[in-house]
Amino acid sequence: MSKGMDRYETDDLRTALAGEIALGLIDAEDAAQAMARDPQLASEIAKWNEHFAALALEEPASMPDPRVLAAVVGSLAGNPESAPSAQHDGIARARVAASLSPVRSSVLQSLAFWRGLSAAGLAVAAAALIIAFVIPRTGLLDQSPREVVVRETARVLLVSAILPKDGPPEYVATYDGARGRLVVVPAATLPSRIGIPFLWLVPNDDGEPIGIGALDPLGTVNFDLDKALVRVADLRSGLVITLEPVAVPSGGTAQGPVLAHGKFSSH
Amino acid sequence: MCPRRVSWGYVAEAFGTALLDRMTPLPPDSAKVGAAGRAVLVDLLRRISQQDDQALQRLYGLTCAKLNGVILAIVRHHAMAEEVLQDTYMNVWRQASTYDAGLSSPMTWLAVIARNRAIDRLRSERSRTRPFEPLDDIDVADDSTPVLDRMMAGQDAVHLRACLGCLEADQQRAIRAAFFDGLTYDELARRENVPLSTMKSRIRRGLIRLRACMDGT
Repeated sequence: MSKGMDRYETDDLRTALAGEIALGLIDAEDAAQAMARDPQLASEIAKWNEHFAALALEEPASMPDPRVLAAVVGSLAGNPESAPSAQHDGIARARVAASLSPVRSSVLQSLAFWRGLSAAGLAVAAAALIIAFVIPRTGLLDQSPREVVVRETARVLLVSAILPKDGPPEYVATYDGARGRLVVVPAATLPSRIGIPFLWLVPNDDGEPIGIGALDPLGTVNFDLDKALVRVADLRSGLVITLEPVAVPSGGTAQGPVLAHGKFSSH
Repeated sequence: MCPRRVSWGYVAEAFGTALLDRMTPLPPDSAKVGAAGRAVLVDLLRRISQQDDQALQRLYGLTCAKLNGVILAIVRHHAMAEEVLQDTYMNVWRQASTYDAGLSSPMTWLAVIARNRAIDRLRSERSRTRPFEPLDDIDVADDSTPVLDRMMAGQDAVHLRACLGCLEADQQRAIRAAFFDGLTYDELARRENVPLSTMKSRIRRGLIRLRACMDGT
């Protein structure tokens, strides 16, 4: 019998130790040493985890604030170690991760940030966030903020929360001006709706809406904007989501009601 | 006498087949997602291990309510629970490649991460503020959970709850406090005003009895 097994005079004691580890009563280092000594311990711990997880999952479900998902997405964007690989459609996010400073990343990652934004304050906060992104990166502090912001739009990340008239954000949009890529992520578990959520870009927030494309309530959608759209997509642009009965053809106009609205800037 | 392993026949007899009928199909975010749901979650975890962020968002949509419930039961504070939930999914993102479908179900794996993150947070908060709540405040025999919710957690939970009820009161109190409140041996011993060795023996004996009951031996 090995030295490690001296601790177990019976299988019962192994069972007890596995239970203690599953409960978190043994510190990680001791647990790791015990598992290294006894290869059978891992499967015993797994059995306890299965039992205890059943107890935990007995608790009633509780829907979290929709902004938690926005914070998770922000964390992915701000964590270079965890940035999606290039073969997936998080290319813009990976590039963003490489370009954001830790301070700026922590803002995106903070649930408190997303939770703290009231519906009325979201657009202003988004604009402030964008300016915070721009100024430290350009080093053009001697220029007026507006001048800097407009000039740098094509090279930095823009963020917009897209929210209904009343309620939390439904989607979060990020725009990578350098690539002309717009990434739209659902910020909540959205209600079932009959129709297609469709995204529109509104130049200067009051111009003629330009159809961008259909959104996916369950996942991320990336749009690579053509040059004409890149020219008008800036901090003054608005984003609108309508619920369309059918897919909108290129150059078409909105037929359905407006679901949500967001702005890259309040300027 | 501790119960034998619970079967669905036993559950149907105890709660009525009408209730079982209402449980099918289970909602997608329920704990017991069934074989098809399990396969979906396993596939999502595989995709997440390949850094597929859309898969993480899909997994979030399917499981966030249940995991938030798990966390909330431990930290008992909504805002803190949501911060732990965010932390949980970031851990899922980083650790998905370590998931072994042969070792545990995906919901078990997710619940263990959620519970561990919640306990870490609770211990961190406790070290900064009050040491712990009196054990007397812990509801040992909490049967207030709606029957349907309890059953959705599966027969394991029903059986575990029954087996916990077979333990000595001090054993089940200590095990529940360790599980739901993340109390350490030191904290448990001080709380019960017993020597550390006594508390360790109490929990080990309780775990051995609990496991024997769960295994039907």
